Amino acid sequence: MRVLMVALVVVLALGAFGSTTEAQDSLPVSLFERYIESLRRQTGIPGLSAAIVQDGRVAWEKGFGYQDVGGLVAATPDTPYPIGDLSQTLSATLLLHRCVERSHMDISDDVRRWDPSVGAGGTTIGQLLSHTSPSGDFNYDPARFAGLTAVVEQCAGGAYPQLVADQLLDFLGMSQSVPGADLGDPSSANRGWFSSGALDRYAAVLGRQALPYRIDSRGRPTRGDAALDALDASTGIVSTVRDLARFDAALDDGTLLDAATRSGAWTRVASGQMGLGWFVQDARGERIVWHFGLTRDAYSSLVIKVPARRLTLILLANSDGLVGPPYNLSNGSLTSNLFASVFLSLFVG
Amino acid sequence: MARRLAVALLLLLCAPPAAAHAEWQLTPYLGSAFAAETQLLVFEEGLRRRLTLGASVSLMNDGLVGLEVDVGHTPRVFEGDDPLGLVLSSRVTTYSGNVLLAAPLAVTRESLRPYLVLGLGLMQARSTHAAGLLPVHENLLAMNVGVGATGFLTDRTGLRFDLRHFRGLGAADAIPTRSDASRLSFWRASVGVTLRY
Repeated sequence: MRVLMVALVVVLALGAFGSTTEAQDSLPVSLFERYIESLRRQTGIPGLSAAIVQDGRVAWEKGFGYQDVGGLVAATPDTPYPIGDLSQTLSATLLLHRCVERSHMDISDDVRRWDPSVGAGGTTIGQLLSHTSPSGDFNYDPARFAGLTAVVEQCAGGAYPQLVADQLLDFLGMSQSVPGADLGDPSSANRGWFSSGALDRYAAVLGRQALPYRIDSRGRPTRGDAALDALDASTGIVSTVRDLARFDAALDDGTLLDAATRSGAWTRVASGQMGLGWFVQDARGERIVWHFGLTRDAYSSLVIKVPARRLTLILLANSDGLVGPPYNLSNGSLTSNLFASVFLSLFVG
Repeated sequence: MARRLAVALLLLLCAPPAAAHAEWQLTPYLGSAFAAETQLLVFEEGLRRRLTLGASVSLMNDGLVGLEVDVGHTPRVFEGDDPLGLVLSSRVTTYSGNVLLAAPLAVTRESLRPYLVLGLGLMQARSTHAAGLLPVHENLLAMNVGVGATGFLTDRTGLRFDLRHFRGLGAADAIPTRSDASRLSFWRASVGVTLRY
């Protein structure tokens, strides 16, 4: 009987991991893993969590280094990190899903139609989503993007953190994500939007989040400060690579956006560097869409999608080494980034 | 006065050795490169002590100043000990032209003749990696400074003991990963056999 039980457990385990192993076999993940670990060490990143999603499934995931260096707590695919400006991709998706597809918003609408408190008119929803000015000039400005917070609240009829929680995090089963690090602060006004059960869950996630580190000139980490940022359209989500993989899969399989809307989001607006909430760039003969998050001396994040291959890389780190100086990703070019370069070389060619 | 002194020093440095006492010295050497630091990408636990080899040709006289051309080659400089490491091949090669300030023979006579060396040249750093990713291909202006001593066992043959520090000076293309380190620097300790003509 005991032998039968052991055999059953083995069979179930093989079944559970079979798909991942099969996907790994078709991807150069072993080599990628070694490069990522080497780059992590060289850039002094204490902890890094990574996942590759292919055809809507997690093909590979791994934690490197430590989410807590002092406590020797290893980073895992389930380690939560504040994702910074990467939140813009979820915000743009929420807006397109909830306001454009299910309401009567058009991205060519003047922002003042949805948020009369905006001083000057003449700026469209699409221009805020794509960081372009009314004259068509590209200028990455997270504070300006955050102006979409009130727009979404107006069109969807709710508080922004609650909308993100209901329409994205809970809907997609992103149970290890939090709509705003401020929810861990007992004095946060946003706590009033959530049940005590939800707040307990958020507190548990925030209690496990990776500690932030600043890296000195010799590559050594020292504890940085974790800000309790409230959520807005530009920043504030805390998440894991596993949860972001769920979002990515839902984005690709049409759960969140119609194919036409998604295609529009991944097409450059005017002469800028972005589509709607995503950077759009041609690299190695293929279109890639991507976004990053950067909290100086604390956290960094990077998502790169290769739509034609239904392939996505998700990286979250507890220092700014992924996308911080010397990189300047806000100018719209990803190809100088070493992590991106290795991914694109190995998986795109 | 200072100007005259400067001109005199320049003439001293530039002047060829007195023909009557000048001699060519050829010194093939073996040694070790160590204490390397770099901002270049190093995909393994490399930059350890490595065998280095090379040769120098110098023109010396009985007096203070000599000239030298030196070529040094350090293979496997970016490679660790992992047989499955990402670095497939690597090397650092230096080419330098140097000025030697040696103790005059009148002082050292038949014993070891110490010298200071200072020079400029080219430092080549090369590293190739698995799947051809992110190769290092750097040509850096480099300076070197060091000390040494030469002692002759016979009329023609001697030994040279040499310690130098090499430092790349120029900006390079690779993205720096450490802001405090030079592009590439290392120490080289070597022992050579000196043949004089």
